[in-house]
Amino acid sequence: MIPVTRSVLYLDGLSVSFDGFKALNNLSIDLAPGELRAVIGPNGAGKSTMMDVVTGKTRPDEGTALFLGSHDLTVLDETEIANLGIGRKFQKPSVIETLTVEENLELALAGNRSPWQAIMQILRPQDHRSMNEVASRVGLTDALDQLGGALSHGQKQWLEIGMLLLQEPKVLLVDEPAAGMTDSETLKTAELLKSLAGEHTVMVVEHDMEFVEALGCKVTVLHEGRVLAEGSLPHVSSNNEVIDVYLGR
Amino acid sequence: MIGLRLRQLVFASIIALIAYVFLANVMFPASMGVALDSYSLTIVGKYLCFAILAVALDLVWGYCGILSLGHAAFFSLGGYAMGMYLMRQIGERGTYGHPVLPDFMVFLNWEQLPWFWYGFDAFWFAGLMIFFAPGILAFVFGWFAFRSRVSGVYLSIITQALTYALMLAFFRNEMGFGGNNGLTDFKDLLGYPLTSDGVRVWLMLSSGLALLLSLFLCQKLLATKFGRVLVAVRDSESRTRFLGYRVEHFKLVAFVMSAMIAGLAGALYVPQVGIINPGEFSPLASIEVVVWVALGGRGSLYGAALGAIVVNAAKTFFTGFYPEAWLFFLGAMFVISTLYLPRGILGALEDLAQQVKGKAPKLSQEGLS
Repeated sequence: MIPVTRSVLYLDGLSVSFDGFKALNNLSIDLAPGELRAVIGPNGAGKSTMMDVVTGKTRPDEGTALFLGSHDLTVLDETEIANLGIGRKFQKPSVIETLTVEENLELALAGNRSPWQAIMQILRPQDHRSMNEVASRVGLTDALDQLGGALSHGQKQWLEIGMLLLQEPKVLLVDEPAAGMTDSETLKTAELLKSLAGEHTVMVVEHDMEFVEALGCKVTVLHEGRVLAEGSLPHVSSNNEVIDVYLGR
Repeated sequence: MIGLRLRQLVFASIIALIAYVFLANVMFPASMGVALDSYSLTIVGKYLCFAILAVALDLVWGYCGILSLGHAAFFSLGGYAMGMYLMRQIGERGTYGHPVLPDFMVFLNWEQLPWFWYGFDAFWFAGLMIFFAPGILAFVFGWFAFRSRVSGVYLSIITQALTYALMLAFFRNEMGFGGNNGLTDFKDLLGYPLTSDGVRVWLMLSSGLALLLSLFLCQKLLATKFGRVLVAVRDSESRTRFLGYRVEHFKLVAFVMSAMIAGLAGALYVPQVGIINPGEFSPLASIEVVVWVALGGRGSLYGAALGAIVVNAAKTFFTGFYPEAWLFFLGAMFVISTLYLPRGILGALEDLAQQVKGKAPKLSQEGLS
């Protein structure tokens, strides 16, 4: 029985355990269309595992994960989920290091993904336009010919975000986008993510509290694989349990 | 730029070789002294076939990260398809004089031709089988292996098992491929005697053209987005999946193409050496191909071709003059290339040329990950 939901992403009662360790413990989150949501929590709280479940990398032991109310994410594989419109930026930048920035963007460009299409594909002017547009949006216009491996850590993060944009996903899962960025870059990233919300649904996992503050959105605090608190940042940071486990005294 | 020029140099050398043989042996055979004798022709033709096989392996290993240790199997299947055609061409001239059955079948008291030998009297059919036999095997094998996400060293091991299993199967007389002795005593190809100089020249020229064609086709393919997806799979397979690419389909297409090219190499090889037997399936044969590619320069089709020719020329030299030193030399080449030439001969030449030009070596796109 599939529950009726208007959520873009509906996670209910998810549990995952690795060798007895409960990475997710009855986790429930749902994202409304166009929402921007920050997920925080200490190391091992289950943030990455949650993203792994949503993107099909890890199968949950129990629970429901629905996309747009009808697609069961627990039975689809990574490729199917990506093509449904869930894009992911990894915690560790994982651009293709032996391809140039432009080629990385080209790979991400939305479109048919079959081998035959890949052989026959010729980039149209509008493809170049959208690639250039994204490149300038993430500040990599001058680095188009550089190899992915030659970029700085921050630039790799930007490139990943740019690739995510070109995939034109409905949901963006963004894992620690600000890691390795300077303060001004961090703010720029926050602005970018904020501008994406509305049109896209965005879930950001982050450690950096300043960054979360800059996002100014609803926050979900994870701890030991479950949701500890949910609400605005001032609301959750005044929660005693949250202060105990995460923010510290 | 320099890498490009070196590649053009390899390509141009092959063209020059073909042009030389064409002029010296076909157009002006009368002007003595410049034409290659049939021994050299066959040797060069063999090297060219090995170079095609190396290009085939480099397509999947160098660009897609699939380390196949069973490529000799596809080479041999192509060779067997050609061998079967050549056997049917013998006709009544066999030792037992049977109009249809090859000698080994008469010897085994077989009454009629097994069904899978039908059609091999026609060259066009054998010509298709040269591609289809290895292609279908690669498709079935790759379908299951890539779908189950077998990769890395596990995939290498099962490709070894594949070629080993085929070797054991082809050794059996009941299989109907001549057992231990394989297929040999060939007489004609398309009605022309195989031992004639003319046929040898044309076989060598065809091998050269086939090498150019496979280099050209693979390069064209790799220059498309397909090639970039392959590189992405090689360097970050899971990332490519999250981008929405069906990695197993891309691997399968590359693997089947590679197997077909290897089959073509085998088919050109067999009439030049005059025999195909199950020994060609030996696991060692496949590993040798990996050494050629590694030594020449993995991830550069021209390097792979160069490696095959260099190693095999060295093999001819050493086994002729210092037979006991050959295996030591092969081992030493592999160790040296792993330690000092991580991008193979071609990569080292590129770096050298860069240094001479006084530029800092740029991280090559085709470098190892």
